[in-house]
Amino acid sequence: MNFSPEQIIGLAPDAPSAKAGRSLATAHKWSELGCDERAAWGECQGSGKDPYRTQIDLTEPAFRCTCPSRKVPCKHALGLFLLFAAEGQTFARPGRPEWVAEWLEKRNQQSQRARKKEAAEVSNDATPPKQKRAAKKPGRAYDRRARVSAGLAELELWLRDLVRRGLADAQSQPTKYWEQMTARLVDAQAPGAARRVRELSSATAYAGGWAEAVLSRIGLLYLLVEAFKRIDTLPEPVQADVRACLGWTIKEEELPADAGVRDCWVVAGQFTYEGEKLRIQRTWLRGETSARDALLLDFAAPGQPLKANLLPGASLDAELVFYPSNFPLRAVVSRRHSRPEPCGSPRGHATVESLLNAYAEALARNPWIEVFPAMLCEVVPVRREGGWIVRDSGGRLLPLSPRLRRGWEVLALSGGNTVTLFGEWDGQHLLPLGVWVEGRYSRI
Amino acid sequence: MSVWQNILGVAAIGTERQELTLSPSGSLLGRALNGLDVSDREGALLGAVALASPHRQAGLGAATDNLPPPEPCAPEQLPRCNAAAGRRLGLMLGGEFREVLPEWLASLRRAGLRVPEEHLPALFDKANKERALRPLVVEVMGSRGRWLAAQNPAWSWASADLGPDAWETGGLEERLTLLRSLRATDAGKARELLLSTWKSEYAKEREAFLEALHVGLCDEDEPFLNELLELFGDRSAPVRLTAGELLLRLPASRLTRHVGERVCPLLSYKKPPRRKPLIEVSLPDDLDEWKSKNRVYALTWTAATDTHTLGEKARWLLQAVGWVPPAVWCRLWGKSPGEVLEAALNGEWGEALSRGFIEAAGQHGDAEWVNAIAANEHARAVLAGWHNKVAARLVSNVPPERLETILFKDIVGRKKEPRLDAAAVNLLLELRTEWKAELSRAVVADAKGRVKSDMEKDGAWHLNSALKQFALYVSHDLADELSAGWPEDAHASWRKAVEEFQSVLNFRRDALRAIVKEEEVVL
Repeated sequence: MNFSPEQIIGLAPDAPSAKAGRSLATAHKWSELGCDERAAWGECQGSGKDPYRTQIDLTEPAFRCTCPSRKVPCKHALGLFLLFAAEGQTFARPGRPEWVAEWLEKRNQQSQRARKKEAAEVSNDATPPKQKRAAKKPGRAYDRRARVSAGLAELELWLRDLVRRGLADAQSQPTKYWEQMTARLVDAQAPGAARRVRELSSATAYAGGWAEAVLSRIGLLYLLVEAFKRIDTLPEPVQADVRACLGWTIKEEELPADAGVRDCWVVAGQFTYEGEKLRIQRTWLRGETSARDALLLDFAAPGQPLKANLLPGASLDAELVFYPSNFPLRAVVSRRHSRPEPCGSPRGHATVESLLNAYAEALARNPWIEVFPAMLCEVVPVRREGGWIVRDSGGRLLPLSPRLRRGWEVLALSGGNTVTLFGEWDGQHLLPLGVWVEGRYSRI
Repeated sequence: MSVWQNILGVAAIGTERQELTLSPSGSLLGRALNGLDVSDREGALLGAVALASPHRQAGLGAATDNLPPPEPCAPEQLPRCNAAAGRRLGLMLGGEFREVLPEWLASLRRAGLRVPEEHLPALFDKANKERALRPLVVEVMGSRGRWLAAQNPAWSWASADLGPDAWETGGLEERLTLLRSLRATDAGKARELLLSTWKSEYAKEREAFLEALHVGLCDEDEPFLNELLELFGDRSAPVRLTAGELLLRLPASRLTRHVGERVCPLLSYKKPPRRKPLIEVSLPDDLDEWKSKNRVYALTWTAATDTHTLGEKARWLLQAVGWVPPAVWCRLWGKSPGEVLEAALNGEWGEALSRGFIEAAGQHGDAEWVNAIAANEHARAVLAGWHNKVAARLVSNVPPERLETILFKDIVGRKKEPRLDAAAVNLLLELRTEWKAELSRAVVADAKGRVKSDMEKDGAWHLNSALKQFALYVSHDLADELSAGWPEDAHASWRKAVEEFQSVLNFRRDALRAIVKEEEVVL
């Protein structure tokens, strides 16, 4: 596919890499430039004696460079990619040099191995990997369960104390009051609950409606406490949601490999933010045929790259495996059938009401859903009283998030006409991540 | 009171002060709440919150927009530029190669295209800071730009309805924009528009409007400007000063004539036997007395202020000579500009006079004189050593085509090394339009020679820092040729400058070519 510079710059692990990459995106900094249908490569003279050999596997894309930087993609890879995107037609097609062929061969083997392993797990062993694992280490899960129970019991006492004394009292508590509970829950191996307590404390500082914001969070926390108490009585998918909410997630390799959903998945939007210790990237997919939403989560330590193989606006024919849930959203790509291709605008909710109904249904299945994928296909962005809204044909509106930095761009793209807009709905605000206008996608 | 409000009320003050009492209800939520054990105060409240909070979250309806939907944007008249060009614009607005932006926008305008709409906000913000971009932006923003700018007061300059009504109703910015653009197309009509409200404008505004008359200044403006300078002319001193400056730019104006009549007797062209011709200056002994005797309307005889190397009298002379159209001297003495300049430099007041002539040549856009100044070594030295703005003033009124010819002949024709001296570099950078192939080749060939010999003589540093700017003006069609063949083993400081030259030039070529490339032109 053709990658746009914005997409490529979006792959940069940080701003300095992006800038350095841009300045390397001119042909005269490179020698031995070449490409074929799978890869692009070149040599770039750096500060070292030998030039760095940089290569890109265009199918993913994936990067490799002999420079000492630990960033992926490094500035050379970014520069080469930008150059290729702009002037790919001028690259020579000399046939792969050995160093490129070697790397690609290695990559092929890796993906074959992964596939074989997958296949072996499915065919040779009737026991799902999750149970196998549990069977291997029976003590571990049991330990954790006891710890989480103890942590949540303390949380319950703490919550009871909080409502006994009242929200107004809680608002005046020092940071320590919240931090202690947070730390206790981290110790108890319930990081998800810990995060919710932390958010509770920041909600006390909201300018308007803080009490409501705090109280609704308290409700969800207490619901979690109660649910965990009786987790064995709950249906399995709900159990999975309770665990996921506690931060007790199952590993990717423990997912059932045979339950893939194949579709043409549109990469609808991507949102990256700094978590406590990690950078977190949410990539939202939407199935063209199934009209299902899927969420891919990627994590990276600070300074480390996030996965960069899915570019918003593109689509791919692939199989997704969903994490068990009563309302499955989170998924992983288990098998790709095609390279990402640009695609037109996907189908979505024609009205705000239809979206909110879907949201209500989702909450009924999993009340702990925090961000909900919102694909609205006939809305007009409008500026109202210094803020932004989207408006459907019936005049129903959703307020856009105050975190939206590029509201004017959304407005400019729409020109007052209806657009297809994808964003994250949190029950209060919609944060737009992508807009399709006349089939043209723009990342927001 | 809703269930939620009830719960919220209790939660706010705490269950130790108030118990949660729920009225029985047959709704699903009501029935669920009825199942709570009310004897456990905290448990009951938390349970109620746990039930009511997701219930409420799921049940929130969408508000209705009471205002009518905004009017959509009018259909576009111009096609959008292609995606490749748009990407280049995105890079420039992101801060890369931003020096290329003005030329790129002008090129887009010539091609009759508009910018992709998603770049409009960044482009407007940029033009907010760089006023000079605004006339260009307005012409490449399309209907979408006007529609968008109308919704953001910070971009009002772009949405200004430039019909004659705007003159009556618009703010100062809009009126200035209107006046300038009208001035460029129909100077007379613009003047009439200004006169129609002149008497009711404030002094600050009168001054700003007069400044705008520099665009399209013509002899027909004189009567109006003269009136401002009369004894009972404009009340505001800055307005009178601006009017005077404008009149002095008109070679045939009464003010210019009167100034010339008073200054001419001070200079005389002499050819002493067996010596080179020179210009003698007879300055009045008492300058103040002379000034008061020779009042010309409200004009104040002042000394030039942007030089400190000259004495008071010399600076005064510089300013006085600077006001006289230089052609006057040629007529008076029957000499060519070159001869007058040569003679001036031979005399006692050489520096003040030559600077005055440079000033005057710029003021009146006299290409003959620019040519003569470029050809004179001493004048070049004066130009190079003086303030940067002087070079700009010297050539600001000379048609670029003419100036380019002068500079080309100057650079190629010079026997003396270095050809690209500081004065030449200064003047080249004032051209501000793309150079033709021959000038581009000549400049780059000379620069390459300089890099090779790595002369650290006078002007080499100047050239080093100018190289990047050359990349903005050399012919972009020759980018490959001009980027190639630079010495490989040059000193590091040169290598960096050359690299920058190459990368700016290559970007510029790509960005400009992307505009004219036929691909995905979408209306």
